[in-house]
Amino acid sequence: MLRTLSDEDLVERAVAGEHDAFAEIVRRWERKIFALCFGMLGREDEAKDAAQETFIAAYKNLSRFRGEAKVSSWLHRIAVNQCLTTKRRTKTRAEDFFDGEDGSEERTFVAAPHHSPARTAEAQERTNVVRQAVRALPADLREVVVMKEFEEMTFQEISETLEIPLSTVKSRLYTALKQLRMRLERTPVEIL
Amino acid sequence: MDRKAQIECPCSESIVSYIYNEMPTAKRTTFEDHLLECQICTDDFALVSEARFEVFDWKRVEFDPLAMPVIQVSYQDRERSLIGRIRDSWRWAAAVPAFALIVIAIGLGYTVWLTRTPAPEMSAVPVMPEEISPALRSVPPPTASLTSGPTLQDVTAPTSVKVTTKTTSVTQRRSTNPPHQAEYARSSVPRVKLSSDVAVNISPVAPKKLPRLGAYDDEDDTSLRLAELFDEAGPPQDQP
Repeated sequence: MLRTLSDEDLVERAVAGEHDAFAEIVRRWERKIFALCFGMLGREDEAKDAAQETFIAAYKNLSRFRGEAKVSSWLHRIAVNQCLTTKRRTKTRAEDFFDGEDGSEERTFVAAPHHSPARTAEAQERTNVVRQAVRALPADLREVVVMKEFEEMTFQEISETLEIPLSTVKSRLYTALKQLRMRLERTPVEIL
Repeated sequence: MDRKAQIECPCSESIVSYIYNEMPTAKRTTFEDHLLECQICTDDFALVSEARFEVFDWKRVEFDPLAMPVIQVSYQDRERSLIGRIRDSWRWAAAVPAFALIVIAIGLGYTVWLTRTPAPEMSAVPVMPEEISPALRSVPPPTASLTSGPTLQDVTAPTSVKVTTKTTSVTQRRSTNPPHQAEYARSSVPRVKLSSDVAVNISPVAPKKLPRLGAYDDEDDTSLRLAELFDEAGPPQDQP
C-alpha cells in the first residue's frame, strides 16, 4: 500500500503521525543517502552515522517541509549539512590528537554485512544490474571507470596513461557516472 | 540561483574530484560552501555519489573476494619483427663460439691435468743378477729355444706387481731324467715363485716393461733376457 505512494504523500502521512509512512521513506532513501554521505565523508562508519543522523533530523523537521522542493532534494540538503557537521567534528577531534594533519584521511570501506538471505539476494540482483549497466557504457567512458574504481589510479595517472587532458578524464568520469545512474534508475532493484 | 546559472555551474569536475578525494583542502572547503548554497549541485552530487557507490559496492562484492589470478603469457605467440629475428639469430651466432671456447677450455684443462700427473715410480723390482739365488747359478743355460715355453712375464704375473719385500727367492726345479729336447725346453724354464712372505700390492700404475724371454728376434729389444742371466750364471751344477 505505502509502496505505491509518492514521496510527498508519504511525508504528508508522516506529518499526520503515521510512522509507517516515514519508515517507507527511510526504506526508499537509506541507500542513496548513505551513498551521498559516503561520497562526502569517504568512510563507511562515518557515512552510516551521518545517514542515521540525516533521517533523525528529517523526522524532527517533518513539519518544516513545505513541499516547495522535492523530498529527495530536501533529504540531500539535510544529508550534506549533516556530513559537513560530521567533518568539522572529526577534524576538530583529529586536530586535538594529531596537530598538523591536513584532514585528508584515508578513505576506507568495510564490507557491509548481509544478515539475511533476502539481503543476499538483493545484493546479488544489484550487482547484476550494475554489471550490465557498466558493460553498456561506451568504451571511452567505461575504461575511465575501470581505471579509477578497479585499478585505483589517480586522475593524473589516467591522464598520462590515456594521453588525454586531466579535465577530460574528470569530465569522462562524471559523464560515465551520470549515465550509469540513469541506467540504474531505469532498472530499479527490488528492495526487500 | 536561476536555472541557467545552475546549468552553467562548472561543478562536474569538482564533484568527481571531491568524491574521489583528489581536491586540495582549500578547494574542498569552497566546494562544500557552494553545495550548501546550490541545490542543483547538491542533487547532482548525490546522483554521482550514488552511481559511484554502486560501482564501488559491485567491485567489493564481486571482485574483492576473488583470488589473484595466475598470469601466463605465451611469448611464443608474439609476433616477431624483422629486428627481433635478426636479434635472435645473433643470439644463436654468439652461442656457437661460446660453446667452442668451452670445449677448447675443457680439452686444454684435461691435457694440463694429464701432463702434470706424476709418473708412477718403478715399483716392480726386477730380478737382478746379483739378487739371484746361488742355486740359480747352477742352472745350465737352455739349449732349446725358450720361445716355446712360458716367459718370465707369465710367471711373474702382472707388470704392475709391486714387491715390497726383498726376501724374494727364486728356485729352479730340474728334472732328474733329461726329457726330450722339446720337453726339456719346457721343463727347463725356470719357475720363479714368490715366497709366502711377499706382500703383493696391486697398484694402478702404468705397466712397466719387464724382461721378456721371447723377444729374441727383436734386435732393438734391450730388455734383460734370461739367457744372459744364464750366461752369467755359468754352467749348471748337479744338485744333490
